[in-house]
Amino acid sequence: MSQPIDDAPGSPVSVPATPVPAPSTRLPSGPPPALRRRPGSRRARALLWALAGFLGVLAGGAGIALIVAYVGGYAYAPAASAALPALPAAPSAKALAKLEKQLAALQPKGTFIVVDVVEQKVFLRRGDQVLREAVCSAGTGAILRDPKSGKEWIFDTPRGVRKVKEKKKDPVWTKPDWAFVEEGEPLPKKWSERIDEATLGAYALYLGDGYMIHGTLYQRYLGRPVTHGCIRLGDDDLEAVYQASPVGTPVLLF
Amino acid sequence: MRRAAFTAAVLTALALPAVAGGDGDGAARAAFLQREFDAAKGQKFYLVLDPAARALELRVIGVTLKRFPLERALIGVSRLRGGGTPQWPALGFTLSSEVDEPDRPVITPPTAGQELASVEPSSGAASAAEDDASGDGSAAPQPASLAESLSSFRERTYAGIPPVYRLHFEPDLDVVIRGEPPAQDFRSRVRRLWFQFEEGWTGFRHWMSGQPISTRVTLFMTPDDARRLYLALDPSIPLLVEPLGAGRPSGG
Repeated sequence: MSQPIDDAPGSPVSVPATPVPAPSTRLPSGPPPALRRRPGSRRARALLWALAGFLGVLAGGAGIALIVAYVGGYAYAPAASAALPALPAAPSAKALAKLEKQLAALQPKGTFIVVDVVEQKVFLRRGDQVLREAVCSAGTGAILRDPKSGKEWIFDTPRGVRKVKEKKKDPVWTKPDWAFVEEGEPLPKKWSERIDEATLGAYALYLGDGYMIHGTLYQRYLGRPVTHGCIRLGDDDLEAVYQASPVGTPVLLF
Repeated sequence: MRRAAFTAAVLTALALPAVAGGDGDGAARAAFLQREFDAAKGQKFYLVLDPAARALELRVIGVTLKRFPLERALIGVSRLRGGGTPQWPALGFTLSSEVDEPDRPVITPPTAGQELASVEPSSGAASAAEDDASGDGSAAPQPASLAESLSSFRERTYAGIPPVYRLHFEPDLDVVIRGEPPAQDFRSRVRRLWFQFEEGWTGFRHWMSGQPISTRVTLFMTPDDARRLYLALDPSIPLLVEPLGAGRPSGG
């Protein structure tokens, strides 16, 4: 389409022919107005794909997590259906009866006292039969520290098996050191200064180590753990327990 | 006299086989009784799980102190150990998990000028000075806040005890205590499913890290019972499994 150029001066200069576009019959370029939002639509589609992918990964992950949880879990059955381990040959009926007798011999024969130090309850029992149930007050569980000597006391009601070692009507309390330390008072020099005749109520059952079941002046605190380890009972319950429990009566505290 | 003795002998002869039951039952019962006797004679607390009666009992010297009824009692073997029919690893176990000591309030004796001791950490609390053992008999009762502060401390202590916990017993037994209301509504069912999910993952993690995976017993009880049980646990407390059909000895 280009014509030869003559370099000689004065010679006519030929200009490269510019292609002239043919008259077009196409529609105007660009999408029609209705499709103008196409780039946004692509983004939405991409987002949808991403979301679908994310959900797929999530579902897959959850599936794997469930499989792992299943595989790592336990195949449960009712405990009553579980097999027992291999056992030695069955003993004779006589040997079995002897074992039962031995175990029964450990159990209290008559009335005994059960103290639930958490729920603040005292039960007077004979075998499985509850003869009387009473609300009590047991130890606070608090710690008292003597700033002078550094000595510590823990006001727990002891758990375990004890026995009524002694019983007293109108008991007198000999205050131990902690009673003075707690009050910020000096320890008395005379023994008589430790004597307290009014605090323990009408009866006391001594369980050893200074612990007692006794009465209280502060009956409204029954049911709350407010003592230094003794078990306090209301007047009527105390009398009933006192009357029903001879010396040697087992006291089971838990 | 002779007739009475003869009657007694006949009755005993008739009763003993009934007590013993079959050979397997007799062996299991004897093993259980022997273990209970060993635990009881030490005058220490022990637990007896009775799967048939769905109960866990706290006992001492053969006396049941507290019975914890179970909504369900399940035993499971890890699927990573092959699953299969669960079997008790033994009839008697010993707690090997550590038992936490409860937090205790500290009573600070009063200094000069103060009338009452104070209890920490209960703010504004006074001491246990109202206790019978601290004041003289004629003293007026101290304000109720004294006892209430200690009581609320105790309640807080209980509130801090989880109703769901796991205990390990030797040999080879995990006991999961699940103190929760019976699964009656959707929420509680979801909670149980979530627990199983967590349990599975924990088992898987243990397996991956080479830790032993024990036979597991899951006991469902009320939250209060679960907390009370927790407070009754002693270090190394024995757990005995009552074999099926083994009744309690009638003594005591």
